Amino acid sequence: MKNTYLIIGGGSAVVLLLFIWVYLLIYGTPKPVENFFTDFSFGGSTTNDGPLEPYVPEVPTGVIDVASTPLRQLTTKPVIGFRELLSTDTNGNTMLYAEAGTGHVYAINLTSGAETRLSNITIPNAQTASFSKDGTMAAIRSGYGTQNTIELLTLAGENNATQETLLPKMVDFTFADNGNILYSEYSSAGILGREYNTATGVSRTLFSAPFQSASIAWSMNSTTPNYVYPKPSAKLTGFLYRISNGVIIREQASGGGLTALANDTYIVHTVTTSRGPMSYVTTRTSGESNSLPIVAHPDKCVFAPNNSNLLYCGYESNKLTYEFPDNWLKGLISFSDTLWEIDLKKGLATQLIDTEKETGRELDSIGMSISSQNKVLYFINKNDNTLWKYEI
Amino acid sequence: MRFFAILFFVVLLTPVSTTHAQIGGSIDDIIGGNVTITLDPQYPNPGEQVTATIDDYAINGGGANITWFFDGLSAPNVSDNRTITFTAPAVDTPMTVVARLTYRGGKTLEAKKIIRPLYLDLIIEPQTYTPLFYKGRALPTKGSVVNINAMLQNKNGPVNSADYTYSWTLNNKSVYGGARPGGNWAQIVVPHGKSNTVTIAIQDKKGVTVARKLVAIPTVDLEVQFYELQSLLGLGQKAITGDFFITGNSATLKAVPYYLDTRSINSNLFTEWSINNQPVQSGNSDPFEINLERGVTGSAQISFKLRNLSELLQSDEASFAVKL
Repeated sequence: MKNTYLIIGGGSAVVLLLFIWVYLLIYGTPKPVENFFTDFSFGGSTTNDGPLEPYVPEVPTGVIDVASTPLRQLTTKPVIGFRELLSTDTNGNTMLYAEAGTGHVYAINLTSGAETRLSNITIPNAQTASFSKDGTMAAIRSGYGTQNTIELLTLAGENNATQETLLPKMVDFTFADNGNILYSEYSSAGILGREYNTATGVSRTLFSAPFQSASIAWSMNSTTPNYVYPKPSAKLTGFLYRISNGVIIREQASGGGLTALANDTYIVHTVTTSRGPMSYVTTRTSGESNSLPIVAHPDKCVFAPNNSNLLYCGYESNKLTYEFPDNWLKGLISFSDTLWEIDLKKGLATQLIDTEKETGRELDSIGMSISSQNKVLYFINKNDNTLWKYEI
Repeated sequence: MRFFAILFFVVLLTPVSTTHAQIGGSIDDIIGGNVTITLDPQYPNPGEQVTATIDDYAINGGGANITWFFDGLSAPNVSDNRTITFTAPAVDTPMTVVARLTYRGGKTLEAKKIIRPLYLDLIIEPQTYTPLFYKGRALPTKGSVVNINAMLQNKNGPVNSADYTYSWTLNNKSVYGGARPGGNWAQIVVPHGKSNTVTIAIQDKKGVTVARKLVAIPTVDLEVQFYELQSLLGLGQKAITGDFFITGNSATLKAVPYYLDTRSINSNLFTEWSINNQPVQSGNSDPFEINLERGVTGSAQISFKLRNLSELLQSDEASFAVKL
């Protein structure tokens, strides 16, 4: 009897050991416990193997996922311009955007996710768009080259938009907060900065600069001046000019590949140095200047509207070379950005999110924008022109 | 002859303002000429770092103590330094720099220089091609035209160029044969040399040089990049840098000639598309575009050659692989 128990016990032990051996042979050694727990993700974990699929939330057609994760793709359509509208009632804020190629305008309710089309007027080869602050107008550039017209849409409810072609030959344009259009126009002596009154159709000149190849950092508000500088190239020196009473006044900033953005307190500029592209922040009142821990490109950065010390940027350091920004502007390279919050007063940069780690996709942010409550960043992914949001 | 040589160098090194040497006491034991201050850069920008050096090689004084003064205040921690570095003042703000040499027995010799920095920006605008979506600046290629604007600015902004004369040189040769009143703008054709420098010297109505600047004009090669052209979206903004996959039945691609001389566009150009090294007709009225039809299998190498027949150094050939 005793021997029987011993044989059964010994046999069971041998079978158990054999089972463990076979298990380890197939599945390998067990991982530490914490590794098992971190594998229990709630979706969103991705792999870079195989072709990348669009990051589309599984929601019914016509409804956008606006609430599942802090970083979300708002559109699958390519976008050429957008604007968040603040709600005056309980329906929630709205995101207006214009579709590339067609110029059709859509609205996404940022609370419910419902998407509606506001304009079905087709603007062939629609390339860039800007919306008025109240969302009643959109200016859309139709194609480059021989056409190159700017169409002004008046958005009056779903599919009731009207259209007119603006006469000024606008090189660059954006809506000012007062509903007028700020634009630049070539002149024989350089470039003019002008303002088009959308109510009267009359333009007035704000300033002139004696060079045509110009980039303009349009004023964000009444306390921030406009700035102008020669278009950037790492191989050519740029100079920053502030517009004061219609006159261009030289700022201290200069250097190869110069780009700049400013608010009422700071000027942030980037130049190509012996160490590669570097960004600096200058306090407007004191002229004191310090380097920034990241490279801030105007297309990738936005100042917080309610806190002038905060700057939000998309940034990836690995591909920044002496050829930047030329190679990026040509579309020869693209970035996979992390989003950063930079406290310009304290000189602190805080990483908010690694977008590739979060989505498995390379998001090269442009058109960075922020909600008026400092809570949401919006940007276009330069790689496919889709619109994204990130809740800070 | 020696006198004229010395005079030449003295004139050359006497720029922004007057430099004075003042001698206190007897100079019995100091033999030779003046002491001067040399600045580098000679005409600094506002806020720029400037190096000042005492030139007293013609004086056999030896062993003098040196004290530097800025606007009458002695500079700390730079005593007896023959070379110092300081920051130029704000735009249009004068600063007096004095170097006082004190010799044995208390005899002194002073050199003074007054600087009043103005911004002088040379804005280079090459007249070469870039696509309209490109937000960067065009770059010069050999034989292309470059416009240069000299913006002289005081504290109120750009000065009235009519009040000044402008002397432009390209590689040490005068661009316009001499100074031109109000000539703050120049147009040059980029020479074939590797390095090209442009200088500008600006004088006021009294003939005093108020600013001078030298800038190197970089030259680059013509650069062809490929982009997909879609009927709805227009020209794509992402260059084809690797293999191109045809996803539909056909695709139209465009070769974009960055930095091609704008004078040659639509004229006097040689263009050629080839597939697997066999020249082909592009199938499009625009010689920079090619229509590709989807085949049955395999891949192909697409090449594009471009040559400006008016300027043979403006040429490029680029290629990419098309895969199904």
